[in-house]
Amino acid sequence: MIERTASPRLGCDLPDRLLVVRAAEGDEDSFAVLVQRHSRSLLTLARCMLGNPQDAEEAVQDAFISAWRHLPEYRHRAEFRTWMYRITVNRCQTMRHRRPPPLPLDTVAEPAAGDAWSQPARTAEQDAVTNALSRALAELDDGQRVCWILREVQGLPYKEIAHVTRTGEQTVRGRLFRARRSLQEAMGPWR
Amino acid sequence: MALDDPHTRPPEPPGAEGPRNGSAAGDVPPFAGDEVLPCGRLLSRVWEQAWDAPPAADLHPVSCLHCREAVEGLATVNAAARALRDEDPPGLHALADRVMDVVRAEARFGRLLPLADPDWDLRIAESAAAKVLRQAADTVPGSRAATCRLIPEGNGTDVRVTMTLAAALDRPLPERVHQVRRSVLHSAGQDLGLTVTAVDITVADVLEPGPTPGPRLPTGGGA
Amino acid sequence: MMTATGTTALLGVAAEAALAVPGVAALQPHLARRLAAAAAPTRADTTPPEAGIRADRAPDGSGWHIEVRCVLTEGRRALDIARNVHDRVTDALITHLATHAAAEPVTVAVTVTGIAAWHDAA
Repeated sequence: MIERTASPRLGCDLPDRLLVVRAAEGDEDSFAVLVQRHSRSLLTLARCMLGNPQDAEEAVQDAFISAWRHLPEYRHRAEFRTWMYRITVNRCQTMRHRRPPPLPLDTVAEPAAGDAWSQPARTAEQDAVTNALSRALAELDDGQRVCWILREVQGLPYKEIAHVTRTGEQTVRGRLFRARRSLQEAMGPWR
Repeated sequence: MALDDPHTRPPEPPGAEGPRNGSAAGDVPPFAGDEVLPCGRLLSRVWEQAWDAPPAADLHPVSCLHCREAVEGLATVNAAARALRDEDPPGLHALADRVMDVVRAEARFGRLLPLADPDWDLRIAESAAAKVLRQAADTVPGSRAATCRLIPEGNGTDVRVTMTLAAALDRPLPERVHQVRRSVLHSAGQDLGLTVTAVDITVADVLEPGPTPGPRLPTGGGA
Repeated sequence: MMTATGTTALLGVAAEAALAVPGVAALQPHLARRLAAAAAPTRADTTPPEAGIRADRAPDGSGWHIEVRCVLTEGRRALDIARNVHDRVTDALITHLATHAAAEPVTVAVTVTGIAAWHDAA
């Protein structure tokens, strides 16, 4: 008798690398799990890079669709998360260069009707600080902004940042340092 | 104190030769615009040590006023960064839906395989069949299917299945592979109606026990 | 002589017969239409059911070749459902042709493009 467990239909317990292999062969449900897993952090990344939620959603949507199309060629040299970060960063940078300078992040974003997400309670002063940070971020050089966001907002180690940006760790550290200095200066009045 | 900050740190030290004690000389030249604090430490290293590196044995920054002031100088920026990180993006669900709409419209079918009827032209897309057979493999405890390819064999309706698995190591692998093969063969006949001549199975990966972590924004420890 | 209306009618007959088979969840919309729908997303699926059926004249001119692409539901063997689709579509077309024009040979191919879980079924 074949021993069976209940069918693990949604695959939520599978690691990324298995889901990727399945999705590359056309398994859309596996790709849906990957989208669920990664969309939050990619959206956060894109919002920081672009400064407004609509552009960020478009960038992340494009990134996922591009990933779906290129999955059969993806050779697992980098982890899926790293690969998605790279695609998203590139997409954001392309969009940034085509559009006027971003507006400051609207940190009191209106939840969509019927959306279950809620904003953490925040004071007006906290909003002002985050707005100031977004403006300061927009002023940074591209490479510095990416490194800072990946380190401070996404929490990635240098090595992974280096993979995402296709540079070396030393370059990452240098950019991170300069970004920190610039942001400290820009946020001076808020100390 | 920043060293207690729950913000994540990478598992490895900042750089291959990054000086752990923050000496200004070190093996790596300071960065452009770097600054030497009155205590002799490089500002960049002090910051890295505070937020990017695992806790070091070096106690200097804990007690040094200059280092602490340097770290404090970035406190507001980093707090704002955490606020950005913790924001819930409202468009998440709608985004996932839009993505999957396009994905399903661009479905990849793979090759077409003959169903087991020699008289009529009845076929099934490889991706549709693979999905069912992967599920059959997944129902065997300690086994999860990775790749699943189907190839027509010969001139008739024969089909060969080639599969790779992730398997747990709590039981002998041959026994598990045997169970998976039986499950796949059963499903091929019962659920699909394919004439499968062989099921080639390779264990290509280890299945970790316990819940599988999806990547989430790290809150502490190594990323 | 078969007019364009006749061809459209054939597609409709085939679609109706296929969709009536137990275990058929939907016909596979034509790829071009699905991409168009994805580009202008609306919640309502306005693709006509005939999409997913292809009707071609046989190469030597005698009769028709029909291809049905469909998505099935779980619970029955795919082969059995495909056979039923083949049989019902063939019967329906032969009857239609015999009634409205001269009887002609009809061959039907069935391709299963997906198997939807119960909760996915359209």
